[in-house]
Amino acid sequence: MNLTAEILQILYRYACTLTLDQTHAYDLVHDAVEKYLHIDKREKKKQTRIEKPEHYLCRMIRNHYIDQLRHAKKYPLEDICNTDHAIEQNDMSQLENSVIAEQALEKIWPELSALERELLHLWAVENFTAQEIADFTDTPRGTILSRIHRLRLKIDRTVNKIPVEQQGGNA
Amino acid sequence: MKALKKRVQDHVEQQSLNSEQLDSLLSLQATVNTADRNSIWRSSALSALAIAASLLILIITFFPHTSDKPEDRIQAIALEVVKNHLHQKPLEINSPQLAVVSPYFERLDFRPIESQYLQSRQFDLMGGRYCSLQGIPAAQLRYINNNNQTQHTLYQVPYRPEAFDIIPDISHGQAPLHTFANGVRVSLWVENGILFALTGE
Repeated sequence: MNLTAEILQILYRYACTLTLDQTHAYDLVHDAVEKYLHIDKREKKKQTRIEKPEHYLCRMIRNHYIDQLRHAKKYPLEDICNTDHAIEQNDMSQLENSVIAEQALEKIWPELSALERELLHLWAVENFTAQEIADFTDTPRGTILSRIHRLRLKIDRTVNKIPVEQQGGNA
Repeated sequence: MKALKKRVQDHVEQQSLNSEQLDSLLSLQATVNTADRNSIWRSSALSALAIAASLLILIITFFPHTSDKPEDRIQAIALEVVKNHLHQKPLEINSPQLAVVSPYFERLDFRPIESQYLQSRQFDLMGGRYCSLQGIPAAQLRYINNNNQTQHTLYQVPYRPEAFDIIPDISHGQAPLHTFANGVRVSLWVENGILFALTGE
């Protein structure tokens, strides 16, 4: 499959969301595209093909980025393993119902972790459900829901200035 | 206030590759295809090289006279001469007179001749047989030294510089070339267009 400019922009935006750094994002995209083209060629020789290449490439970017973070010991391993079963009944509606003031997102965006930004990106830009995000990131659905819950509380606390006691959550 | 989802979409879409970055990424696809073609070319080139190397080995194995180094070619001649000398195959014609032996080699392009190099030595002719030297048909003559009764083998073959390399020509006052192969001394010289190789002197 030929990678179009549109696909490359999607990849770049996803990489920017993860890294917050345009140069780093471009490098990640470049590496992923280069690897993908070789893999794609091998697949064609075997007369098979990669399903959903955009998602495949995004996962390559994600894995490479996480490898880099782990190498730099900056990857929040506990975040992946922490599943709060108490909030599993909640879903993406927590985010769907959230509103935010103009310029507020720009303010909080750099303060969010890479995984939190990624979650918002997949939900808002790719229109993924919680289950799709779980599948895409190879993370249990419960962990994703837990992350969504904490993310909403964080946004309320830092942007909308809602005190912790009024949130009544387990931030 | 605006929905969080819309805010995130707007924020993410602010980021985009510039035209230079986009061109670079798009050109990667062409680069990979070219690299693949180069890889195929390299494979073909390697195959051709392997075939050429095999042919070269065959040529060197079966046509040692084609060696590029003069010393190697001379050593190859010496080795062949000594090997046949040590085997001492039966003579096909027995006579102490060259005038009798020489006509026997009618199938050769030349007739064996007396060499001035042997005139000063007490060598008696015993006879001769057909043979070859470096793939070229040759006359093999056997002599016996009257002083110590040792036998010597003398090869005579038309001199071809391209096959035998540069061998001293005693007709021009040059001294014979002496070398050793398998512990046997070999003397080489050219005389009147004939290459002589004498063993065990």
